[in-house]
Order: sequence, then C-alpha cells, then structure tokens
Amino acid sequence: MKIFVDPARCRGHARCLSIAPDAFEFLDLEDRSAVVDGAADHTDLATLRAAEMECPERAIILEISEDQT
Amino acid sequence: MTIADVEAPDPSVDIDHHSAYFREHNYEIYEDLRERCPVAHSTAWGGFWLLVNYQDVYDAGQDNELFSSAMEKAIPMVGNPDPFVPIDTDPPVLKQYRRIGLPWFSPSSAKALEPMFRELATELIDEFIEAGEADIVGQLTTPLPARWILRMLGFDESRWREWIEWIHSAVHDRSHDPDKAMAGVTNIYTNITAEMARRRADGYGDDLLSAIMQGKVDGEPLPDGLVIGYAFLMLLGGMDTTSGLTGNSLVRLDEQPELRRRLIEDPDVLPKATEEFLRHDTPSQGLARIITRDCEFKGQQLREGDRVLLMFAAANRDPEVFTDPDRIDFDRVGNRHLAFGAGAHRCMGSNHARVMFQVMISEILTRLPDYTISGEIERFEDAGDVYAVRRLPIRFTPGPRSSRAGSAATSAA
Repeated sequence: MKIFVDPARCRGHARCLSIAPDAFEFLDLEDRSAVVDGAADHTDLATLRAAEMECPERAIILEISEDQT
Repeated sequence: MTIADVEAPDPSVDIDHHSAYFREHNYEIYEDLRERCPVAHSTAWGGFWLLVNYQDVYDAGQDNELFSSAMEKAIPMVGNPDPFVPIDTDPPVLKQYRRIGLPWFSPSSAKALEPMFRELATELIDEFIEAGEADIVGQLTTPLPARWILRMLGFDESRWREWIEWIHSAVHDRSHDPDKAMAGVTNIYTNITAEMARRRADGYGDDLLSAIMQGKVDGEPLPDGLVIGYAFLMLLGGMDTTSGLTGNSLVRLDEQPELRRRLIEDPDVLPKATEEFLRHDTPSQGLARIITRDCEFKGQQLREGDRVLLMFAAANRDPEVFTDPDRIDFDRVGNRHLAFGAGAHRCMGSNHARVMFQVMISEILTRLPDYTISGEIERFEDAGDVYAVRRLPIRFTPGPRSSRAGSAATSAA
C-alpha cells in the first residue's frame, strides 16, 4: 500500500490529521498536510481510508495492492 | 440554438438571501433550486447568481481565475474603502497574505490553546451554573470566541461586548440598516487604527496585529488600509461564525435527545459530530465571487462582472453527495462538507473553530447535561451571510461553580 497527499490539491483542511494523527503531519507555513514517513506501514487501512474519504479536496491518494483489497 | 440553450432552465428567481423569508426557509429554497434550476439568477440586489449543487460550488471554489475574489463583490456591496485581505484577493498573492497569519492558525496552535479555551469556558459557565438558567449564546458561545480573537490580536478583551455589537451590526444590519452597519464599521476602523498607533508608539508585541503590521507582501509592508482590513476580517471570522455553529448545534441537541445522549455516552464521537454539525448547520451560508470573463457554466451564460454566491450550506445538503442529507448522522462516512469553503480560500480559523466548538459542547454536556430551551430561539434577522442564533434561553439543574475556576483564563494567553 502507498499513500500520498497531492500538494497541489491539499488546502490545509487538516481533516486527515484529526482522523489519522500518526499518519499525517502539517506543514504550517505551507498550509498543507503531508504523509509521515512509513505511515502506510504503521497505520491500519481503515483509518487511512477514512482520512482519504473525508478529505474535502480529494488530495489523499491511496494505492492499494490487490492482496490488500 | 445550441443544446445548452434548450436544456438550460430559465434561471430567473427573486431570492433575497438577506430576507426574513430566506432565514426561515433557506433549506427549502435550496432544495427547490436544486430541482428547478441549480444555477439560478436572482433579480434581488442588482442581480446575482446562486450556486447550490455541491459540485458546482466546489468547482467554482477551485477556479480562482474565472470565479475571482477581487473586491466589490459582496451582495450588496459593503462599501469598505480597502479590500479585506486575504479574502478579497486571488492567487498567487493570496498565499502571501495568508502566510502572515498562518502561524497563528495552524492545527498545532489550535491544539495548544485547548486548555485556555477550557478555562475560559469554565469561567464563563461558573457565572451562571448556580442560577439554573442562562442565555447560553450571550453568556458562553458569544464571549468565548470573541475574547480569544481580541486576546490574540492584542486588544483589550474586557471590551468584548462593544466589539461584538459593532461586528454584529456590520454583518447582520448591512442589508436592512446600512447606517447602523456603517456606524459599527466606523467604530471598528477607529479602534483598530488606535491599536496600530499604540504599537507604533510603544513597540510591537507578540500579537496578531503586530504580526500583520510587520508582515510583507512582495517585499513591502502592508499599507494601513490593508492592515485594518486584515484585522477586521479576523474579528469578523472569529466573533460570529463559531458562536453560530455552537448555537445552531445546541438547538439540534435539544430537538433530538438521542444525539445528545450519544455525545454524553460516547464523547469520542465528538470530532465526527463536529463535522456533521458543520455540514448540517453551516453558519456561513455562502460567499460571493465575481466572474472575470463571459463564459458558459453548467448551461447558463455568465457575463464578465456578474456576481455569484457559492452557497456552501446548500452544497452541504446535496443528496447527490450526502445520503439522507437533512438527517444528522454522527456515523456518516465520507463527510466532505464545504462549511469552511474549498480551494485556496479555505477558512483560516477552521482549526480553532473546531477546538472551541468541541470545548464548549463538552463543557455544556458535562456541567449542564439536562439543559432545555426555555424560551424563544432568537435568530439574527439576516441569515444571508451568517446563519446564527442571537439569543438562546435555557434552563437546567443548577450545579456548583468549578474549583478549577480562577484568574488563569484571563492571563494564560
């Protein structure tokens, strides 16, 4: 599984930080979220998927390999 | 004749979003427009477009080049001599204006202020907890955000009542009593100017106004008019909308006891409940943009200079996006609401709004969990900009003042 935050789409709503605080960090002066290194390995899929589904800008991209779906 | 000409419905309506009728029927109006003509043109206020579908509002919010935020777009016009930055600007300069304030509004700064918000809430609730009755909007949800924003700007927070009166007048009286609104605006300008003079005389402090005064755009400090506009915008955002959200939600918790019970029994659901109240009871109903060139948008012909209202509150009830949109469902999945807007102008205070809302709701449900609305719910006459409760009388079983209360809330800024 891979997870990205598209920096061009993210507008800093910070919904992902509230849902998955261990997986995302906030770049204050950039006004946007970024994925914490290794987040895909230490955060469960349901939590990451929730963050992706609540993002108003659809800036979170989850790539799930076939054996995880 | 093109296909668009055939398919597009007659867009003409006479909706006045500042009217009493709108205040009482806003969600019915949105639903009717959605079915009849989702890109509608109102003849009110010299003419303007209304967008009510989620996708349309979202798309307009993303396209700053076509849907500009350049000034002179408010419906009706505000008449302020200088733009309110950052909200009255477009990218790319928008980002430079936002950056001046961003350190004060980050998620971590909001989180760091939670203990201060809780102390302030405790202190305010102490003032009425023994009485068993209160105007919860006038005595808690209004002063808490107001005192915080004044404190952050480095203003005298003990004068919050005056500031609130001016801000409420500037927002809620501007369509039906422009003279009164202008008096409020004048007071705000005068007092911000005095605060600026004080800093020039005594030196800058660790406060948001000092940061705005020292901020630079394209390497240059902001002219005084823009500093005033920036500070004005912070007061507008801070003083009205968070109280609006909290008041609206307290009404829902009274109407729907099962929601209240859920929040009391399962406090961990509060973050999701916050998003659902933002969606269902959006305070900022909509914001305006101005069209920069003639174009076709979703079948309607828009002209350069046309004004367009992006109705966030309507988008948040769009059944294409939200199943059973009129129902409050804390377990809703995929709640991509637009209560804070979308795109480059996302509300700068959103992180603080959430924390303040959650602190107020949790303190109310802890200390006066059995409150009931005991009189008339008095709303602001004009809901066109901010849909909010002005006065909310409640009764509850009296409780003791808190041992936590002290003077810390006024000193721990």
